[in-house]
Amino acid sequence: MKHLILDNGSYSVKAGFVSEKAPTVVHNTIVRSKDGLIHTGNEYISQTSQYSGMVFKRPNEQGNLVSWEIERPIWDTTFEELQSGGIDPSSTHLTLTETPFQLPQLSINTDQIVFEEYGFQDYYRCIPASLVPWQLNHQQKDFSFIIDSGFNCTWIVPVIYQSVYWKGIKKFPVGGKLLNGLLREITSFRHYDVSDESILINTIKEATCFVAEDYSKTLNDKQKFMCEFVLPDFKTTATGYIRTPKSITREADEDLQTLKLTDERFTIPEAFYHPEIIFNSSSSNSAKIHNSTLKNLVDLIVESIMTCPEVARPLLSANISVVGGTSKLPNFNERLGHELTRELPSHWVVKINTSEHDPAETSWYGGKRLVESGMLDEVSISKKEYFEHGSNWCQRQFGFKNI
Amino acid sequence: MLVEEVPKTSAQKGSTVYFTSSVNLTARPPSYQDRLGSSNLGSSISNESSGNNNENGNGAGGDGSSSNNGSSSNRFAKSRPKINYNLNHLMNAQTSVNDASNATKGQLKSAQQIQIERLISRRIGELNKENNGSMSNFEIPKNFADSRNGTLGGDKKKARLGNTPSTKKILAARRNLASYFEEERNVLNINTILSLNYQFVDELEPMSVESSAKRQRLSRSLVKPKVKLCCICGGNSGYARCEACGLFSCSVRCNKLHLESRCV
Repeated sequence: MKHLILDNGSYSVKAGFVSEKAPTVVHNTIVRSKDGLIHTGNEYISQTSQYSGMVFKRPNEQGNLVSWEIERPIWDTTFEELQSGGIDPSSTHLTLTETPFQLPQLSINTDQIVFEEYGFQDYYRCIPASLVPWQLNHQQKDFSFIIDSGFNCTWIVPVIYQSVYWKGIKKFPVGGKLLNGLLREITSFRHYDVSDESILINTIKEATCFVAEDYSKTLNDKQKFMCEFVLPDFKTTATGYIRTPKSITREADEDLQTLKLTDERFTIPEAFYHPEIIFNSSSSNSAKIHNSTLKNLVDLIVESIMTCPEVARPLLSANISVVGGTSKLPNFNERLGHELTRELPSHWVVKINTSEHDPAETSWYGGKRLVESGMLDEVSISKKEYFEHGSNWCQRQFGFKNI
Repeated sequence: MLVEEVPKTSAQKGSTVYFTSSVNLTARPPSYQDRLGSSNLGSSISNESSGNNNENGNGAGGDGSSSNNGSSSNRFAKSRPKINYNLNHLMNAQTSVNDASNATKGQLKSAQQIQIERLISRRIGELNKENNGSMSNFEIPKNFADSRNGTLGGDKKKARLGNTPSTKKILAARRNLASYFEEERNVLNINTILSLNYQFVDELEPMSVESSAKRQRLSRSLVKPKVKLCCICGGNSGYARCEACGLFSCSVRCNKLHLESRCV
């Protein structure tokens, strides 16, 4: 029996057998390039250099896995690209992740595809955050607090004794996709129209954005943080890059198109702490929103900790794990630590774990450790059980718990 | 993004069934339990629902100790806490996300609150759209997945078209999330799932008469200051808001520019 772990994120699928060292990462998307060709998963990176004007189609809507006609080709591609070759589902155990509070009907669809279409032998479905504690060391496993800042949104999940504390789960709507949207809007307003260039925007965000240590101070001397991003000309570069003194001398001509980025770099990620930034440039009724109070990420974390049993609260705050691709923004963890220390009672310890893995892949490594612990067999569902009890029963085993 | 569902109970108030229990269910005397068991649940509902519907219509529920139970509850100690059960709530508890206070939230929302949530979900949906340009959508060819497999694995093709009727249906569905929500709302209370999207919006205090100016000031002071950024240059703006649209600007120059470009 081989164990396959598949972390089905809304940006990328992280899949791999337990025997492998690292997961295979495949973009969870089908792309149509300008020339009309359709690419699945990572293909567009290698098969085309026309990164401009790509149109994305994703199987997820608001994190929910909706479109199986899109997801199935992506999974097929992923399985082909696995490091140890293809898979034989009939002798494979699948550990699959889904978004918290997925619509039950969609989870049932997933179960049906897993068993009836692919025919996996054994199956365990959970939310990605519940896998994270497994890759922590032994003392930290019992009370852990997960902040999963992904592409779609940010989930705040307390995990107590390895089981998800559903009551405490909070959702903060800022994720990588939303930051891209803000950057797109600001860039289109100040510089060039980039509304068609999703890849370029994502590249700019990953290359230049950071979380400010002290926002108002940083904003006051924003010129210090000015940086120039060279736009792709599709001759020397297809993706664009940051201009440094070194690269200026390398360039033959000076007439490259550049973006001068200043406050965009830290104002956009600041949406985590000042959600009103999301509504700053939309003129539709912004006064109404400015008069209502919005909670930021820290408020929701504190709220979530406070719903947990009282004895567990300080333990949770001392064992925070930040995962998900958006948390790769520079300074994300440090700022969060400072803000939380300020909000929580002063005698509590606030500690954010440092992970040796890529934050986007932490859940996959957690799943790997879960399999190695040997506990998985007790919670899995086998193909035989599924055909005996049906998909509704399956959802009752794996779905979010009634509170 | 999806729009908040109209609360089920308010839409069909007539069919909502309430019944009142004047006993603490966890500690009820055996004699009463027998009586409760023998009396048909349906009849007991119909007895009390007529009287209780009015009372519950106010949304109070907790204050039910007042009127109509005089005849029935004098059999029991008056000091016992009384709970009004709403059958819909009980059924929805199966899928409800958070504690009871959260489950009732959907019904206690003010119109103002719903309006703000609409605005927020529209804005977030707008930002989350990845393809904004003219050719924002494309259709995947019908035999896309199959043609891919055809090039790779020969006779596997047949098996990949959908093995069972149910998977065939799923693979050919081409539905969006909203349509799934539409379908599910008949089965369960999706408000609890939808309300996750608005967890970061603070509940508005319903404007009540007794909320004095002092209390308002107090609640204001608990709210953290908002950043006010110029909508043109992004700098700090203590200057002014546009009177038409409410966006901030930091200088006369930016305000002029704003009036020319962004203001509706």
